[in-house]
Amino acid sequence: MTHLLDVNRLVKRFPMRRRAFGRGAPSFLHAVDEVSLTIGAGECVGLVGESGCGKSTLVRVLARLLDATEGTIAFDGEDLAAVPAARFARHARRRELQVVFQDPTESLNPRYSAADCIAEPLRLLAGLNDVAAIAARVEEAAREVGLPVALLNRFPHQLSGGQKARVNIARAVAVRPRLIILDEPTAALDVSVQAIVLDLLADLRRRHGLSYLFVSHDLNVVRLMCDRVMVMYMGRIVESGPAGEVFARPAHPYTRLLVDALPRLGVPASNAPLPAGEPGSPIDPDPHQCRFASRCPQARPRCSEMSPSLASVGAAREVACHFPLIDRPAPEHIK
Amino acid sequence: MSGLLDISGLSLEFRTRGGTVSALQNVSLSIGKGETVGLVGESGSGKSVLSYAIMGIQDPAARITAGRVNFSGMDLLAMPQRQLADIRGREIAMIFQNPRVALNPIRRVGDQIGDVLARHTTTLARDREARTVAILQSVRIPDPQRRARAYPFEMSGGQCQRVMIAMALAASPSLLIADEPTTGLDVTTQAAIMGLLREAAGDRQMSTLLITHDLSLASERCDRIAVMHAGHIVETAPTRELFAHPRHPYTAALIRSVPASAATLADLDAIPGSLPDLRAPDLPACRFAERCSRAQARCREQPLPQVHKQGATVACHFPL
Repeated sequence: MTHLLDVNRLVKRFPMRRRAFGRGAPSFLHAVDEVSLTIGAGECVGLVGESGCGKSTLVRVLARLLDATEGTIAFDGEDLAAVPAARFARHARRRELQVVFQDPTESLNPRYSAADCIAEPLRLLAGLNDVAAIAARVEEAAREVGLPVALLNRFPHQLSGGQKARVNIARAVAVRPRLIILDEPTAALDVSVQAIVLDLLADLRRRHGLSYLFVSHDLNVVRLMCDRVMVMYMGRIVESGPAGEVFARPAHPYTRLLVDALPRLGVPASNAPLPAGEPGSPIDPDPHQCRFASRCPQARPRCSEMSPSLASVGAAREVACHFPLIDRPAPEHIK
Repeated sequence: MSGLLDISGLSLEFRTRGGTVSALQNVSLSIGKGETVGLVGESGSGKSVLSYAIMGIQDPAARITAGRVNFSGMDLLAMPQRQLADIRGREIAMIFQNPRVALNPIRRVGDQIGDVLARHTTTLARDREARTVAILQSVRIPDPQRRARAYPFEMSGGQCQRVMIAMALAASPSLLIADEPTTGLDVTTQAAIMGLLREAAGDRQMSTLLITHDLSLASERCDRIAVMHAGHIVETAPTRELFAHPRHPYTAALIRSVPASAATLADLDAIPGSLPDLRAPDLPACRFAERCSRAQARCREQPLPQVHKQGATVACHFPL
């Protein structure tokens, strides 16, 4: 099966300031480390992880706002990683891959009306230049996301958070993309509005067969929205699998930690303390050590000697852990 | 019940060029000794305004038009500013949502904690440094000697929030107001911070008012919850009861809109409409009426009843 997006061993390292007098090897911040992922047509894949884990860098590399250090990004068979980020703005594929950014206020030009915001990509990416045609497409997009056409002349500061979220989504869908990267699309919204926006996103995906990469820190939202989920820790994917299963029965101790830390509705918190600690430094991490070992409640000596790589556990599930919380299937030759 | 803090019939409005904003109307809430009360609601519902009014740090444009705020026998609203300044930080402490903004960016965190000790405690100047380190240690800041000399920008968001908590707890207050203390932090950090707050509250019989928009968090950490909508407290109830049998339609709708409550996306209900414009001179008696499926003419016209039942109140003509 071919996937719409097929990312292979993607690496993004940021060089740090050189040491004094240029002696010694330069340091690198390993933001994204050998990440491979696929997104099928019409599929919604979730990406979760703590702040600083590299989610946003991965999004920016996939959206071709940053150049990858290594690896390939095959989009419908074409390697986009080979196109420099500076040139991608004019690339033919730019239209097919859209991003909805986290903060609906910050990501709108305050001097553009809602209509201008939606019209700009139509002009630049869809190649429309007829005023009437653009206006028609803007209205179509507004109707599609449930934004009252009467609000199109308003400026961002005259719109509510939910309406601004709709403008951002309308701007992304107006050019009829195939993949939308949603970076925390509802983090800035109240729960009362969040439900509407999530419904809208699910509806658009169904109607247009869109694929989503859904980045969020809210595990419950990911569980409701996504077919599959990937858990990222310090630049690496540590677990992936069907969203419901991964959260119900985490295989990686880190996923387990995230699930346990989640407040439960109507259930008092347990007194058991969670393992403390914050992620270690992503600058020149020890390549022979599991990056979670320092925080892991069940780390054993082997975890400090060899970094685990993703291996399958059960159908469609993968985990990067020497001692996963669910049993691996017996290797073929033993069966 | 007479508690540590008793707010009764508090109304507050803002005079603005666009008109008078009725930000709080007839708000009553009490917090008992050692109790943790959650204050939940959408943004703009008046949660923070209420906490600022308790602290006496409301915006100059705000005017309290009615009500009383009673704190262990003292009337906070009638108190002169100088006396209030002694109570703030010593008896009532507050931690704010964004610790990076709330901390002074150009002073070392240890010095900022030292300021609280100097102003509100009898700690001798020569003991202050040791005390600061001990306080940082109590909020689990690793290597407290060294971190006391750090500036806020050198610390992570979670670490800054720990410093805020350390400052708030430095003078052993009897009431802590925590305004969205973990918003913007990761769930793992959130769990650690909330655990820390509970520990501190348990150790010194401290009462806590936890302001949050996260219903799950409030349900997990609070003894009692008050739900706010558009400047009204629409329902208060013991946590377990509130989630088992919400009585106000808004509370029920809010619970149904939380992703944690839903098995599938179809179970997730949004609340129609938005908060009413609080500048309108003809606000309906029930400010939720326009968004409510049970609303009738009476809801818009007749003053809301405050139905009390076993420590719970609901302000609704047609409770569930």
